[in-house]
Amino acid sequence: MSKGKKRLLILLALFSVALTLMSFQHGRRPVSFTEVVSYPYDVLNRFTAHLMLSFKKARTTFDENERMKKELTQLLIERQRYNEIIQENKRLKELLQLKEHQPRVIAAAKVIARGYDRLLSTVIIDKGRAAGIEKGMAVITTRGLVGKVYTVRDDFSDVLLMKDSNFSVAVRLQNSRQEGVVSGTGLDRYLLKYVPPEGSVTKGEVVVTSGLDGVFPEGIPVGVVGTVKREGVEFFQHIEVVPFQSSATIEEVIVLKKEGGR
Amino acid sequence: MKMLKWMLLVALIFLIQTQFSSLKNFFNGAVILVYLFGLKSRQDISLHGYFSSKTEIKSTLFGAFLGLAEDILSGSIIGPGLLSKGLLGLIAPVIFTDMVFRWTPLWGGIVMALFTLIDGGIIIGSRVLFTGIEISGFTAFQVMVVQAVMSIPFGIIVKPQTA
Repeated sequence: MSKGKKRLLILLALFSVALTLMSFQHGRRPVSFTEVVSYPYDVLNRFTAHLMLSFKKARTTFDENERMKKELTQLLIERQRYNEIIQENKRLKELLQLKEHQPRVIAAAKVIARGYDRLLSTVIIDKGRAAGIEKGMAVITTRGLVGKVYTVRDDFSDVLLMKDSNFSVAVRLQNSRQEGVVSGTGLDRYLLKYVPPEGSVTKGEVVVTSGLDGVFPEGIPVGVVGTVKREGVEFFQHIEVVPFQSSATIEEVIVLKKEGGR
Repeated sequence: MKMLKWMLLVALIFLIQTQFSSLKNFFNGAVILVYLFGLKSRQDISLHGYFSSKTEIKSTLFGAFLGLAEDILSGSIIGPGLLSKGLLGLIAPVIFTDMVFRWTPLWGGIVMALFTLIDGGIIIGSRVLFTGIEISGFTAFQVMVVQAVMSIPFGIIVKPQTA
C-alpha cells in the first residue's frame, strides 16, 4: 500500500472515530472526567453489586422456602386438627340432640381407652360414680346400643361392649314384633336367640331393645337382621344381627338410667 | 523512557492549563506538544535513515490521545480534541519535508499558528455542531487568533533537525 493511501486511511480512521463519538454523544449529557476515570470501577461495582444482590435474593428465597415449608406443615397439622374438631362437633351435636330427646340420660362421656381385661371386650369412659353412673346402666351412641356399665369407679367406668360373649340384651324385631335375646359373639355380628322357627323374620329388619330384661330401656336401636337360617335348626332360628354401632368406632357415648330406675 | 518523558510533558501541560485557567485563552500547550512530538518523530526516523507510515501512526495516536485527554478533562463531548489533535499529529511529521515546506523560522511560525487555528476551528465547530452551544463567533475568533499568535514563537524556536 502506498504512503498516500496509508495516510488517507489513517485520516479516515481518525475522522470516523471522532465523528462516531461525537454523533453518539449528540443530544446527551457530556461525559465528565470522573465518569470516564471511574467507569471501570463502576462496571466492577455494578457487577459485584448485582452478584451480591443475586446471592442475597437466592438466600432470601431459600430462607423463605424453608419458612414456608414449616408454615405449610404447621397449617396441614392445624387443618387436620380443625377437621377433627369439626367431626367432634358434629358428633357432640348429635349426642346433644339425643340427650334432649332421651329422658333417661345420666351423663355424656368420652371413650378414653380400650379395656385392659383380655377376657372381656370393654372400653373405659371418663365418667364414673361422681357423675351418677351405676353398674348395669345402658350405654348408647347416636347410632344405637353400645353395651352396659360393667364396673364403676369414682371418675371413670368400664363398659362391657355388645360384642362380648357375656353380653345379652332383650330385643324385639321392629316389623314382625318377634322377641328374642341378642348376645355377643366376640365378632362384629351378634346372635339373635330364641326366635321360634314359625316366626317370620326377614333380612334387613330392624332390631330394637324390648325393655323386658329390666336393664335396657325400650326402643334403643341395636342393629339389623343380617342372615336368617331356618333349615336344619331344632328349636330356634339362627339369626345374625349386624350392629348399628360398630365397637371399633365408639368415641362419645351416653349413659342411660336403668329400666324402672329413678 | 521516551514515552515516559512525553507522558510527563503531557501531564505538565494539563497541570499548567488547569491550574492557571487564565492562561487558557492565550496559550494552547496541547497543540505545541503535538507539533513537537511530530517533529521529533520525523527527526528520529531521519536519523535511522528511513521514513515509514508508522511514524505518522505514532504521531497521530499521540495527538489523538492528547486530544482525548483534553476532551475528557474539558467536561464537554468527547471527540473534537481527539479529531483535531489526531489530525495535527498526522500532519506534523510530514509538514516539513522537501515535498511540502522546507523549514524556515517564518514557515515554522506560520505552521504553528495555522495548527493552533485548525485546532481551535475544529474544536469550536464540533462543539457548536454536536452540542448546540451558542458561541459568539467574534470572541471565538479572538481567542483563536491570540492563541495562534502566542504559538508563533514556538514555531520559530523549534527547528527540525533535518532542516
